[in-house]
Amino acid sequence: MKPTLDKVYKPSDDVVAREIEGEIILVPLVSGMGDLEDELFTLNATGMAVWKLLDGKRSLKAVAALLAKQYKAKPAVVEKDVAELAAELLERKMLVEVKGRK
Amino acid sequence: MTRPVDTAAVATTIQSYEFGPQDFRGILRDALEKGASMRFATAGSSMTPFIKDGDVITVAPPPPEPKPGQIAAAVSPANGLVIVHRIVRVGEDEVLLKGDNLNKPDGWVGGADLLGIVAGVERGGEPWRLGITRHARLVAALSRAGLLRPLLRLAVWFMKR
Repeated sequence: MKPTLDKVYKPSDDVVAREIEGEIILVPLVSGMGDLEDELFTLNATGMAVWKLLDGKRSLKAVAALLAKQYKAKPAVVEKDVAELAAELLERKMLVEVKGRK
Repeated sequence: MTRPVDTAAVATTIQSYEFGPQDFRGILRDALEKGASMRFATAGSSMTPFIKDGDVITVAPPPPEPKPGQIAAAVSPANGLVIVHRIVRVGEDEVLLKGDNLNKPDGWVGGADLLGIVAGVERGGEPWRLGITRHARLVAALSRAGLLRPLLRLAVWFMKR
């Protein structure tokens, strides 16, 4: 699924996230089951920053703008990076769109 | 002028992760509070032979009325770690837990510290039911009476003859 920069997303209820020693570990809950013997996911520093800003209130564009300012990077570049991560998280059902917010 | 910064946001797949005790407790609690079950490998010998070191168990959210014989995942009253021990007595709002292979009970556990109930055990990739769904109440009664360990030792002695 391709994310839209103007849309608002938040972590899915079907994931458990835990910040451990500077990284975030994501445990997907697939069909009501978390499996620590199966694949888990971790986010790098930028991914963690994005994850923390995906609060169901900010659009992806707003998230990217905040990070671009923080990293003193070009907004267009950060938008692309944020959108790519959002696409992956959406694909894995760890992120959901918040309807009715823009 | 903007400084070039690597802003790539990356999600990486990991095949396993060694959780510390507190993080494991947090992950387990979070999942069960969401109504999900959690599958993970056990460590330790306190429930041998019914759950052995390395067995993979599935823990489901606690039922409204836990029963003697069921095996619970709970926060230990002694040290705050997650334990997976048998319910040997049920009180009004608490349960008394005891490892089948231990001499003494862990103590009474209730409320949010009763994390969940073991819904399944896998040993060598196959379901294991003895002492879990089969004869669980009998095992709890023997454990409560302090007879389980002597009987298990006797059984081991007979099998080795």
